Amino acid sequence: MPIFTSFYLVCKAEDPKPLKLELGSDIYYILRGKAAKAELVEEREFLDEDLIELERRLSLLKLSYNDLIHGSYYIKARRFLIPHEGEGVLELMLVKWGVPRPLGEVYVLRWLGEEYELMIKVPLSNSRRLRRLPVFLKDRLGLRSFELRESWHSLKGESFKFK
Amino acid sequence: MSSAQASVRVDYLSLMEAKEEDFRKVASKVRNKLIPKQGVDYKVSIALRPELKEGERLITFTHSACPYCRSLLTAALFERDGKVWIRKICPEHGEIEEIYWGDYELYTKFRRWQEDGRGVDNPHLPLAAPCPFNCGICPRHKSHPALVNIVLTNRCDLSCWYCFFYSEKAGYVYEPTLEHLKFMVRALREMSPISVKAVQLTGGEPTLRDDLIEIIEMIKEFGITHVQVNTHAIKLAYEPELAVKLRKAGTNVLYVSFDGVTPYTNPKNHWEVPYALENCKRAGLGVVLVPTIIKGFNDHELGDIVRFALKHSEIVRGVNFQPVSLTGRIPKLEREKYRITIPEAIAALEEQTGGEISKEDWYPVPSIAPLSRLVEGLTGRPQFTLTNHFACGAATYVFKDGDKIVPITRFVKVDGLLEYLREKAHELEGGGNKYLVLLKILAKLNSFVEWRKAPSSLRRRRSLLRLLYKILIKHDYSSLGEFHYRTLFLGMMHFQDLYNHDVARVQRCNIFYVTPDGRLVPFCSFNVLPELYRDRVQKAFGVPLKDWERRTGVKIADYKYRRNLRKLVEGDVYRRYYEGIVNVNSIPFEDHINASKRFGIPLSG
Repeated sequence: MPIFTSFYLVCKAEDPKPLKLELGSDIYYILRGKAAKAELVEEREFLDEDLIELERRLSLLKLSYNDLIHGSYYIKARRFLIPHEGEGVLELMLVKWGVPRPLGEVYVLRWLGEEYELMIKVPLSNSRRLRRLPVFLKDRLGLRSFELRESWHSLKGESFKFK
Repeated sequence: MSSAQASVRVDYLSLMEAKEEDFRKVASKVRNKLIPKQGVDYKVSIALRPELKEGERLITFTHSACPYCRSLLTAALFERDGKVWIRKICPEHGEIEEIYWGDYELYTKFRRWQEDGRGVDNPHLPLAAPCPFNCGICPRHKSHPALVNIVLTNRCDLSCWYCFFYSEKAGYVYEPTLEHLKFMVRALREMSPISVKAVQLTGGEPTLRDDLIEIIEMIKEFGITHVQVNTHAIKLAYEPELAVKLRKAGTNVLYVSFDGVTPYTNPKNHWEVPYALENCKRAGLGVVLVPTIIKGFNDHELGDIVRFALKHSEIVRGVNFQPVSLTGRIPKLEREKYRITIPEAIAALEEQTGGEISKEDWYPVPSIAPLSRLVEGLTGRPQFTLTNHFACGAATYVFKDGDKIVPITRFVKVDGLLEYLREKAHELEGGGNKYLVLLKILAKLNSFVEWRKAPSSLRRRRSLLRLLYKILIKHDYSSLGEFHYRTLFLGMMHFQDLYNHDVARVQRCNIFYVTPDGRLVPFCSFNVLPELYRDRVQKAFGVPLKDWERRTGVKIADYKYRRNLRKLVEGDVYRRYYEGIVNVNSIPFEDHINASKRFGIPLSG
């Protein structure tokens, strides 16, 4: 069964510009009109060959791996089991970043093979849009139902260490 | 490393009559073949981190390419003996260490002003390779293009000994047609959210193109507001009507190479620059002087260059010093002999102006970004913002007050003003009322100026304040232009080479080249990795020399410049322009001859 790789990272840098960043993802796969949460099967060290995959996420923030190595960072590659990827994989990427006041954002990416589409970006401070997110995704993807309950703690930033 | 892509060739002669749309199709066909490929063009070896030695203090890590094999490596930036150094270890070529920035204290002062941009919304390439092998513009790039170079030709009427770029050396002529240029300019105008508004026409020598005026008019029609022409200005010394035509077509400024005030330091165009400036003055065409600084060669003339610029400040708008970029394989001892970094150039200028322009007068380019953010907050529209890396450039403004040079920092509390603007920009971004914020700024502005210290021309009717008001309220090009007419801009811009290469700087670069396949490549990738970018794309869209000569009926050798030294030296304009700066009468004529010949410019007459 295919494996989908995503990342969890925390970074703090001062040069050339102060940066605080925490990023992590929940993964869903779409099967027969429903989105199901993918199972995390492995968390391993970041390898050089993960570079481009990581930077595809970071580039949404106009960041790169180079920004991470400028400071101290912790990074893990997280591997999810995707029983069926024909209809796409959804990545709910939660980001908290910025100095002096960290900004929280949710990015929803729809992956089809190696290509992704950024479906929506929602600030965590916008609770109305955040509540409507499952409905928005359900409509956009033409799904019968879509629950984000399991990711709700993540979406509210509660599972993140960096405040 | 061999390069499979180097053989990509477009039959350019068959495209001489092609339309813009045809070039779009050709570009999309060849682009993928021209993009650097891992394993062929570069390798990635980022796992190894250089260790620090005794007496060294780590600043940060970054990525940097190996000067010998282009492998991407992890490099350490560290402080030693009050200077900043970069060290990397290539598995194949060993340890490579280079000075990065000549003053650690200034490094930390400049770093305080770093601002990052939001890049572009419509990158031309998908993210498929590590930086800097994905240039084009890629999604991770942090700055929007502020100035884009368009190479009009690789032909040149000089054959400078250090240049490997001109057509005879390259073996082909690269000269995009007008329709092809339209395709490239359209790509610039389509950039979002900030469409490109400033271009530099460069070469080779762009004035060799017969259709230069037509090209400038076409670019202006596309809505480009700032056009500068990068030239040695030799043609302008002889053709006063060229300056008039360039101005009328919409050229805003000429960017003129000017390495010193004597024949010894500036054998390229020492004799012609006064005549060119005179013709530009008559045409009302502003000039920026661009000295390349080489340690031990011309770094003792920086003060004189500024004095020369101030003497002709009615037409010289600025001086943009460029510490030398050492390309090619250069042994360490030779690099140490010639290398000068921005802080060292600033220190030399301080010494040569008797402290009139000191280290404290300089600010990094992104320090001005809060002003753009403020205007963005006031207008609600994305604004042109300079967010390049702080180590890439420094700037200040100076005024002439009688015989004295007065930097803007001597009567404007720049630190306080910029901090205040940053604070107000932040207030607007946090939802503050824009009218209230603007009122607060206008009320406070005067407190940042110490009028008794200002040059007398500015004290009168407080014209500086009116200028600042106009920039803040109108925030348009003419306000900024007016500001530049009243002051002399001094800049330092350090382009990288593979010895001091820093990917963090590449990712923030805001000076680009547009390539014939419609990509936008940062300056320090285009010229620092020429085999992957500049030479590769220009060769692909070039015409072999012999074919070009056959088609045009022009022999390359026929238009090479021959200098009539006697006539130039004896001219009144020549003497008048250097008067008070250098005693040209004390230079033996033999020295003029030798300087020109050694540089590679033959003599006539």
